[in-house]
Amino acid sequence: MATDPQPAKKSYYFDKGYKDLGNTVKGAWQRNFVSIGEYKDNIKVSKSVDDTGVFIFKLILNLLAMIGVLVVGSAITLVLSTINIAILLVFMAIVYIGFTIAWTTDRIYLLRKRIFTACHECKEKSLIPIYICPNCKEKHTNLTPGVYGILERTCNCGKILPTTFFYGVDETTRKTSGIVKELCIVITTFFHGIVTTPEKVMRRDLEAICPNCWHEGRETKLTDRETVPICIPVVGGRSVGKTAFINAFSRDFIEKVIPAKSWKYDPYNDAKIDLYKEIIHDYQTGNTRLTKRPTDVNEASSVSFSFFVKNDDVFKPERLVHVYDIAGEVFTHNSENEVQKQYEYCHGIVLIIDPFSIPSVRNKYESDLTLEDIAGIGNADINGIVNSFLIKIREVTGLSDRKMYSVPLAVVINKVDSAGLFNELGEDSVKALMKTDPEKYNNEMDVYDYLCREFLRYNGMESFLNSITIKFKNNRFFVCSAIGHSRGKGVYKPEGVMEPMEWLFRQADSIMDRNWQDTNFTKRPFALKGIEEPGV
Amino acid sequence: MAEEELIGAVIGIVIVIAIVIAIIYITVLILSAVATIAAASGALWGSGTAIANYSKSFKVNMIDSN
Repeated sequence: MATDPQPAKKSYYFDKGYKDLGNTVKGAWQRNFVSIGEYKDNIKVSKSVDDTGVFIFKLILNLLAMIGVLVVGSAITLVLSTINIAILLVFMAIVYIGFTIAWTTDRIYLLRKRIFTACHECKEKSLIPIYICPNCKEKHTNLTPGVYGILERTCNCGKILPTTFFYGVDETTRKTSGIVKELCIVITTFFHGIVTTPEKVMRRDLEAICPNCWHEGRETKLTDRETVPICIPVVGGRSVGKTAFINAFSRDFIEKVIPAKSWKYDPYNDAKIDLYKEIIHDYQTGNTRLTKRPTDVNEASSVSFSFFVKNDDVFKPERLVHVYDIAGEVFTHNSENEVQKQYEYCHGIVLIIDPFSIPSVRNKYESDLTLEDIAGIGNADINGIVNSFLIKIREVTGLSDRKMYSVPLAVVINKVDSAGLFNELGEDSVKALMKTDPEKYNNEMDVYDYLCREFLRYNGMESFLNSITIKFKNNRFFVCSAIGHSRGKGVYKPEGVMEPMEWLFRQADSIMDRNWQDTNFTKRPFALKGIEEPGV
Repeated sequence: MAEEELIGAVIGIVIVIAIVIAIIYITVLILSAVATIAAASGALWGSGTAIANYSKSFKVNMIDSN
């Protein structure tokens, strides 16, 4: 609940109500004493003006009035004060219960729907961002039900702001204030429930900034709009094809998957629109931008491509996809400008490996590689990359070395189009293996997973496989060719990019799981079955 | 004769005493009624004034100030 001081007017019952009550009681007593004083004055005036008989009559009359006000009046004032206090306490209790219910409902909704804000700049997670008053630009650090209002609060500038996800403010019809206003809100909500109309301003419509960035002196605008985020970092060494993978996924997901499912794409902000233009340019030309690790420590080492996926019938609320492209140097040089906090809350991780960085694979296929392919081989040791990645995860999550990480990990062997690697890991190999034992090899993706593991084991990557199996409870191997051919040779022809992302999206979100079923996945690849898991 | 006079005197005394008692009784009754009326009037006056004062204070501090 709103405990930090907020730039808003406190609820009547938690601020002005006390003062008004105190003033009323004090005022009543003062008026009683003023009345007694008036009777005293009447006696004095009568003594000097009236005859003895009249004076005695007025003396008795005023004395009786004084005694009446002093004795009976005081008792009545005491009773009225008590009734007034009791009524205020009852209203205060109603309001307290009201904002407790509203606050709890708001929290349960956010937690149940797994709504949070993942800052695209600092990567910090927050449940409630800092909302900005559209009128005076004042920052409300905790725009939730509390002592400043149950369902709405009044900014110091007078602007009424909604405090929950379910209540919208329509200023054109709201002119009341004080007791009546508070009562109306409580009663309306109690009897009519959630009332939302297009003309109402909801909390999610307000401009928001990242609380963490703000504490660090920056203003990072968030347009998350109380959506359900799906956060997928793409990790791997330098030149393994992370950016190409993100390009291929982003373009094909937005241009093919979303329209095919009657979903709707909505860009996150102008910067992401520009980024998508770059992605499209890369996609059309067959190139990739090198994800830079800025030397300026204030700039992020990872870039997120973020966009909304909408469909009012399917996604309530809409989904916000963040795909993080983390510079390969972060893993090879073990240096980064900021802690990649998204590991703590992400819904899945894509680990991309370049098969030609494995010495035995390179030796076997080098003669078949084009000069462009050789130039683009990621030379970093895969085991070193994985160890660096695991250290970073431990730093962020605080998990001990012996515990398994529950986030799904998709290990993607990229560049399988090069040098005929498809012969070992391609569709033909999968189908051939499935024919040998249709009962055992009955799922295509499981066979891909099996072939990948066998390929890596055969090529001396047993240690890498063990690290993945031991540290990640839920892992699956994939093959892909993000560009589909050598770099710079025309438009992308991606193969196998969508499957790992589909698997991760479906793991992350049950609604996605029900509505995106292009690929048939088993719950657990058979290659993992029988491998003993250490205790979690 | 003397006996008759004595009886007459006793009756006279009794009558006087009865009249005095009656006067006292009526006076007390009247005074009680006056005191009751005065007390009731005082109570009504006091409570009326208190209610009026509280109402005025309530109007100023709780209604007009909002």
